[in-house]
Amino acid sequence: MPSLAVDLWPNDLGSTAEITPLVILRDQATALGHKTQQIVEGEVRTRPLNPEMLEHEFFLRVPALGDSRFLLLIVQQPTIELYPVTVQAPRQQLEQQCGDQGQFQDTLRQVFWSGETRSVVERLISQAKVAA
Amino acid sequence: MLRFIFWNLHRHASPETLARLAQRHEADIVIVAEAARPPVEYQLALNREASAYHYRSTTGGLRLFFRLPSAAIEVLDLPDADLPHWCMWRVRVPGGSEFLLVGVHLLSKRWTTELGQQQEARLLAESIRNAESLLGHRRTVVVGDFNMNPFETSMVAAAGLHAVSTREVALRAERVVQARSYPFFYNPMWSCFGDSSPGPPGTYHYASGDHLTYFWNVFDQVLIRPELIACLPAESVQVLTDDGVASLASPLGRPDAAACSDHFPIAFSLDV
Repeated sequence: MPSLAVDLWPNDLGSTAEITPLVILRDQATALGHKTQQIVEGEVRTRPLNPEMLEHEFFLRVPALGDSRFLLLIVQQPTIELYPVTVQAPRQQLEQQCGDQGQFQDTLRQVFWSGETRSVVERLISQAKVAA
Repeated sequence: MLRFIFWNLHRHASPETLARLAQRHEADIVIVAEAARPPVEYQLALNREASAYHYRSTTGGLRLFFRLPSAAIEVLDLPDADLPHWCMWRVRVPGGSEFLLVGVHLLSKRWTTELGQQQEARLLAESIRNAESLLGHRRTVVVGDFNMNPFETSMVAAAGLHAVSTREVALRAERVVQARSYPFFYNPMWSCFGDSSPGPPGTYHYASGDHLTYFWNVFDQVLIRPELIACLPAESVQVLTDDGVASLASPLGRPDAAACSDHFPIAFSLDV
């Protein structure tokens, strides 16, 4: 570190591990891979919408189908406050605002457990198993 | 320490055999050529014990399986990174460094001439140098079925792969030929030839009736840039002859093409 005349910052910055919406989404991406023996992987892409808001896109990635990606849901969150987040699941025409981590996780569970999502994942797995 | 395996499956070796091999040698990265089954069948076999291996497809016949985090390996974003006979991946090791991994399955003399092989080797070498310029480093490993022996012109020539037999020469980094500078590769597979090699005398056996036949060949090779030589334990470079349960060799000690493949797999480690 370069020598400074005065350093007024706390020494323990960055030491807390808060469970942010992004951490939750990335954990679900990893969990999906484990559940499908990595045939269908979850992939999260994050971009700033503006200085105040982040957007995360959750894709179903299928390497055996030419590395295809299918958008499952979109989550928008305030960059600093983290909540409330807005969850959109286009295939299910769902748009839900979640005030805290608990509501966010409930909404994700609702999307993941839906018949529509199960059907999509099963079809992707079936096709991946026979793809050359 | 990352453990690598490459195997030309000869469109015959089963997913179960590959899985046993990977498990026996605790392979983190597995690249195969000439896979006959859908890639998911190999992936399911590899993941029978734990769902660890990810799969990445390529344009050609190479198949990559790895048990690093999914985002650790991606195809390089270059027009010539993913072609029928090679693929280039950027590997970011969690808690470690980044390197360029190039998988190859080059044309055999059955399908092209020696000149054709030389041209392809030259193009591959240029593509690798371009990729290294893009990445800003030369931490590169090239592995696969080159369909050439280490001593052939395409492997050794400066404008080819420029792969030399000793660490000492390779660590000179590059050589100037006719005012052009060419970086070296180190080719540890020179040490896998003949009776004095610690394993079988080669990776591929072929006896023709022609005047010139080598009988044993080392077509399956790994090349390392000088920047990674210190990361390659010499004893880790092996030609494998069993999958931990069954032998991959015939009673004559040659690759058992009838049971699995006409190539032996190779393995090596990198401490990255």
